[in-house]
Amino acid sequence: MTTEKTRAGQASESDGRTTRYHLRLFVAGDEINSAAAKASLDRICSEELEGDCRIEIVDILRDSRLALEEGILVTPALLITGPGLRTVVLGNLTDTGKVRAAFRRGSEKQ
Amino acid sequence: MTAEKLTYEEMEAKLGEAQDILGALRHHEVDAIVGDRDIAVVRLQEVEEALHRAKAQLEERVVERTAELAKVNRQLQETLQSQKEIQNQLECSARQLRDQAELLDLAHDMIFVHDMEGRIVFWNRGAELTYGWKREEAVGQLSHELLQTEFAEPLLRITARIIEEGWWEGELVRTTRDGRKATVAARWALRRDANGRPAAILEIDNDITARNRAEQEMAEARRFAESIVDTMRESLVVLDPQLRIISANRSFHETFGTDPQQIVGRPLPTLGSGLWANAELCRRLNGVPTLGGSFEGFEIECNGGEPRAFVLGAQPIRRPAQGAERILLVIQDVTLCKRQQRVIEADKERLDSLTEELMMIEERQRRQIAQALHDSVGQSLAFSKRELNLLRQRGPEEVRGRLQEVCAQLEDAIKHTRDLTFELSPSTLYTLGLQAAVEELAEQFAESEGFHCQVEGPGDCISLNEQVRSLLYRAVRELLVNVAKHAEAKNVRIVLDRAEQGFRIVVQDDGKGFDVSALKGRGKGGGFGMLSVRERLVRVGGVFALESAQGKGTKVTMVVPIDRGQRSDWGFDGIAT
Repeated sequence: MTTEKTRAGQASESDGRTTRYHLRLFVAGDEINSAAAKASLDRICSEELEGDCRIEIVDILRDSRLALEEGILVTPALLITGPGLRTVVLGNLTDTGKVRAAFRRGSEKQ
Repeated sequence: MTAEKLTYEEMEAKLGEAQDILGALRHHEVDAIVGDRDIAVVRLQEVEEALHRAKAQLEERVVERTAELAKVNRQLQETLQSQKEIQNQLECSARQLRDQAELLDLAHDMIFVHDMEGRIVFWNRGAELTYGWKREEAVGQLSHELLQTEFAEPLLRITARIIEEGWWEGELVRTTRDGRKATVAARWALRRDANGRPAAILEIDNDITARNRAEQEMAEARRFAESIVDTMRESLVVLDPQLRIISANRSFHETFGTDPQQIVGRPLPTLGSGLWANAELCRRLNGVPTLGGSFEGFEIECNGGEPRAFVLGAQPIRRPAQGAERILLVIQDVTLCKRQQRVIEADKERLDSLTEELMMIEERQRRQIAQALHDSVGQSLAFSKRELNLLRQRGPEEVRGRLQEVCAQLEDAIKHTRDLTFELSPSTLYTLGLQAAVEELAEQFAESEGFHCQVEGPGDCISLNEQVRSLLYRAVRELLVNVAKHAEAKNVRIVLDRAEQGFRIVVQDDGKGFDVSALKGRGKGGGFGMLSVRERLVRVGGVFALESAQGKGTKVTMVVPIDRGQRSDWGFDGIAT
């Protein structure tokens, strides 16, 4: 099952609005790290990316095919895609610096 | 599945992913692992908490176990310490046992141990040496079979006694490996186990074969000595230093009528009817144990009943081993001897008296014969010679020669008669005295023998009886004969004088002398020789002294008493000479 959130963090189906970054977070239900990752992701989205992002929560306990397709081996894992950007950040995302570094690394690869 | 060949960048990306995964896992930030078929939820925090709890529990358990282990360790340490002490004690005991076993091996006694079946379990060096079997040969053997033990009483009785009393001792006869019979003084001691049951018997044997043999030989020697002592005529008594009787021989009991069973232990002075209470005897006996305290020739007499006399001698019996001395008292019964001695002395006195009387008679007869020869034969011969001389002067020429020869014969006869008269009894001795007779004698010898003879004397009258006077004259004559025969002297000096002890005559020559000791041991034979002179002088109370040496002449001194107040048999009669 896939759940997408807007900048306000409200879960919604794809509403067709265009954002710069697509943040797909693979979680394992409400396990501790997964819950923490979701909370961290909301904060990153709003504070770091100023809402310029689309969040998609993928619960692998419900459907793991997407994770397999994306090559995700452990959760929580944040797949960041954007223009010319594709990177994965593992963990509960409490380390904001690691997320920032992932964005920078993706930018440098461009 | 065909592995796709990855580019370097892809490989680097994969490696980066892997590192990321490992980092997430390491930081416990992974909730699930996505597999091809399953999803593994990883609740590391719970696990960690569980691990923490488990760890805490484990640590508690560890603490508990550690405490238990520490306790156990302490107990173990204590046990180890205890075991170490026990080990030390055991080692100490083992050392002591080894030392004791070595000590047992040092003993000369034969020491062995056998169990209650009689099987040997210990066999010391002494047993090896005496009995001949090595320890390894003896251990396991039945002791009494091995040693062929001969018991003085049944073994069952001995066994019963040792079980009852714990020990037994007695004499046994064992047979050694080489077949020798050994008599041993055996001491057995029972050893019981922890439950008090008889477990083993320790036997200590001492070889007394030689001792027994020595004791037998000593007993035989003692019997032999006692048989000799009992056959002795002398009475023998052995006393202790307190003069208590230890033993006495048969002769003692027969002589003094004592009972062998009743006198042992009694002090000698209390024995009999006071004979042994002699104070001087007791004093002498008490002095015997001291150095030089031996005595002999001590006479005691018993006047109760039949008079008896004994001569006693005593000497110590040294017994250093016993640290005490004994006194051997030898008693010789001289009653008969004394009686015979008294008879002999009486006979001797009578004999001396008779001898003196005979000598007196002989001397008188000599004088009578001499007188007769002088008065009758001498006178007749002198008359005949005088008449024949007259006839020869007046007669015819043809008979003068024959008458001359007859006159010469008569002259010889007259001279021989005169010499014979002089020899028998010189008249000068009785008419002019001893000194004149000696001077006449000296002149005769000087003339006939060729040596110079000088006589010196007081010249006054000395009161000597006829017997002594004759004795001294004949003694001087005998001495001059000896000088003439043996001395080869040139000068002889005869001195007559008064001395303190009596009248003295010294006859001294300057001849070759002789060894005085050669005279000793000669019998009384040889006539009126020096020994005869001495005996006769002694008989009248006089003294005879002879001094001589090879090359130094001879000096004889004769002294006779002239004190009338002395013994009557000195024979002074107051006749002046």
